Amino acid sequence: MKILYVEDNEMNRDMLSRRLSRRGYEVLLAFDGQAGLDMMKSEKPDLVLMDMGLPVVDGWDATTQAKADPEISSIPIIALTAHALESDKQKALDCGADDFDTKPVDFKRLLSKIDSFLA
Amino acid sequence: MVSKSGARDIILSQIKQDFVTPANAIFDYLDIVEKALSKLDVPSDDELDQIKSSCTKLINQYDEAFNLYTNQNSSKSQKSPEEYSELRHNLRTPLNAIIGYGEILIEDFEEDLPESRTRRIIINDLKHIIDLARSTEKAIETFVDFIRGEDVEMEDASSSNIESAEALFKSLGDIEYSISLSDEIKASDILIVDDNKTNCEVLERRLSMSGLKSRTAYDGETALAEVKKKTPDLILLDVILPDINGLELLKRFRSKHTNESLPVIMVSAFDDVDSIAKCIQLGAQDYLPKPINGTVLLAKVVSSLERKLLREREKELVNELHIQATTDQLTGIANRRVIFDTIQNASVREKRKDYKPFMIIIFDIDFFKNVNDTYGHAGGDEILKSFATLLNTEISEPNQVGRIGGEEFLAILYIDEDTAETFIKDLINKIQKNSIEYENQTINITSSGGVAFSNESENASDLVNKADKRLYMAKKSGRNRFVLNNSEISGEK
Repeated sequence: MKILYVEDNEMNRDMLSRRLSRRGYEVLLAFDGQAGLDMMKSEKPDLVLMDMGLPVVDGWDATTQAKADPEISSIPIIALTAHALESDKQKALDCGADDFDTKPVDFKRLLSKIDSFLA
Repeated sequence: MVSKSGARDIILSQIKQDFVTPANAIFDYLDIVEKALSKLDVPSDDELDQIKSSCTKLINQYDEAFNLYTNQNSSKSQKSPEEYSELRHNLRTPLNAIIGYGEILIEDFEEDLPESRTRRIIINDLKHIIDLARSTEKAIETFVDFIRGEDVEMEDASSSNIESAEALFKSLGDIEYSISLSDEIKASDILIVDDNKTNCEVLERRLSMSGLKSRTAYDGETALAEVKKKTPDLILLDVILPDINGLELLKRFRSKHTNESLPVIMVSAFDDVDSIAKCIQLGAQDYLPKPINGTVLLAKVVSSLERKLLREREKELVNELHIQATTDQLTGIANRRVIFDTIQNASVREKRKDYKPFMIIIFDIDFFKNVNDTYGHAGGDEILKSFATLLNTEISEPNQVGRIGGEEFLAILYIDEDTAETFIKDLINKIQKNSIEYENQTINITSSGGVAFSNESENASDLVNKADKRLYMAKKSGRNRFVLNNSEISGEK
C-alpha cells in the first residue's frame, strides 16, 4: 500500500512517515502542494495525507486541483489541519477532501481512517 | 480601578502560564527519562532530541506570536483569518511532533527494553509528556481566540490534566536513584510553594531523586500554615500564586524569620534583572528562573541547605564559647570576670536615674585547706560545687553570684541595709545546714564573709576592697561570721 504524505515540516514528515512505515505502508513524501500534485500523477499512490498549511500551493488549493483532475481525482485524500473547528472540516470537505483529521494527530484514529479507505 | 489593559495583561499572563508550564514540564520529563535511560545503560535516542527541539520550537513560536500581539497595540481587525489559521498551524505543528515521537519511543521501549521497574517509570514519563503536549492544545486555542478579540474565560488550570498527572505520580512510587548527599542534608525539610501541581510534583521528583524530602503547598495560606506547623529548612517559592502573591508571602515570612533561619529561593518565569533584584531585596536568598534546570536546582538547594547547617553549627559554637568565657568551669556559675563586670556596671549606674542601692558579699569557705587535705581535691571540688549551687539558689536574679577563685565567691544583691541582716542570718544558717555527701561521708562547712554597701563608695574596686577587709576581720575574729559596715553576724557554734 502506497501512501503519499504531503507535509512541509521536516520533523513531522520524519515522525509520521516512520510510524506509517512501521505499520507496513510504503510512504512517499512531498514537501509542498505542487510537488504533491506532481507525485500523485507520477506515482499513483493509494491514499494521500495532505497537510493544509503548505508553501507554494497550499493544501486547500492542491486538494481542489487534484479533485478537478480526472487522472487522479479518485485517489482518496485525508486533509490534516491544525484547525479543530467545524467550519474548517466543512472547508476541507468542500475542497473535495475525502476525510479530515486534526493535528496533533491521534495516530490510532488516523490509522483506522486510512484502513477504511484501503480496505 | 483596574484598567482594561491591566485586565488584559492578567489574562495574557495566565494564558502564558498555561502554555509555558506544560512545555517546561516536558523538558523536565525528558531530562528525567534521559537519566533513567543512562541508568539502564541505554544510549539516549534521537527521538528524545527531536522532542526537545520541537518543544523549543513550540515555545519560540509562542513567544513570537505573543510579542507580535503585545507589541502591535492590538486592534482585532488587524489580522486576517488566514493569519490566525497560520498562527494556529505553526503552534500545533511542533505539538504533533512531540506526541508522535513520544509514541514512537513508547513502542520502541516496550519492544526493546526488558520489563523492569525503570522501564515502567520511563514509559509512564513519556505518557506524561504526551498528556502535557495535549494539554497545550487547549492553551493554543485560548491564545488564538484571545488575540482574535474573543472573550476568553479562564478556568483553573485544566484540572483533568492535573488529575491524570496525579494518578500517574501515585503509580510511580519512589525513585531509588540518588546522588550522594550527607545524611544531615537529606534530613532537611523543604517546602515547595507553587499553585501548579505538575510543577510541584516535578520539583518533588527531582529532589527525591537525590534523596531530599519535601512538603508542598498549592497556595499562600496553606504555605503560611505549613510554616507555622513546622519551620522548614528551605522554601522554594513561586512568584505567582492564586491568593497571596509570592513577594507578599516572602515579606510575611521575613516578618517572623530571618533569611538565615528560613532561607527562601524564589522560582519564577520572570527573568528580568528588576524582578530578581526585588526578590533579593525583599530577603530571598536566591533565585531560580523557569524553566528550572535540574542541575542548577540541585546545586542551589544543596548549597542553601549546607549554608544553613554551617550557620547553625557556627551559632552553637559561638554559644559554647560564650558559655566558656562567662562560666566558672567547675561550678557552672558566673566566673570572676562576669561578676566583677556586673558590680562595675552597677556602680556606674549609681550615678544615673535608675539607681538601685546594692550590697556586695565576699564569701570564703572556712578551713578549706583542711577539707582538701582530708577528702582530697575531688572531695574539695564536690564541696565547692555544692556551695556554689546553694549560693546560686539563694541569690537569684536580678542578684548574682560568681566564683572569683579558689574557695572565694563574690555576690551582688540589690537589697538595702535593713533587709541585709535578715538575709545574711538566714544564709549563714542554710550554709551550716547544707550537708554534702561524699564517699559515704557527710561533710558540713561554714563560711566567712565581708559585706559592703553601695552608699559607702562610688568606686567598684573600693567597694570590693572594703568587703575584702571585712572578710579578713571575720576570719580573724573566729570565722563562721559575716562582717558588715558596723555590725557582725555570726553563725551558731
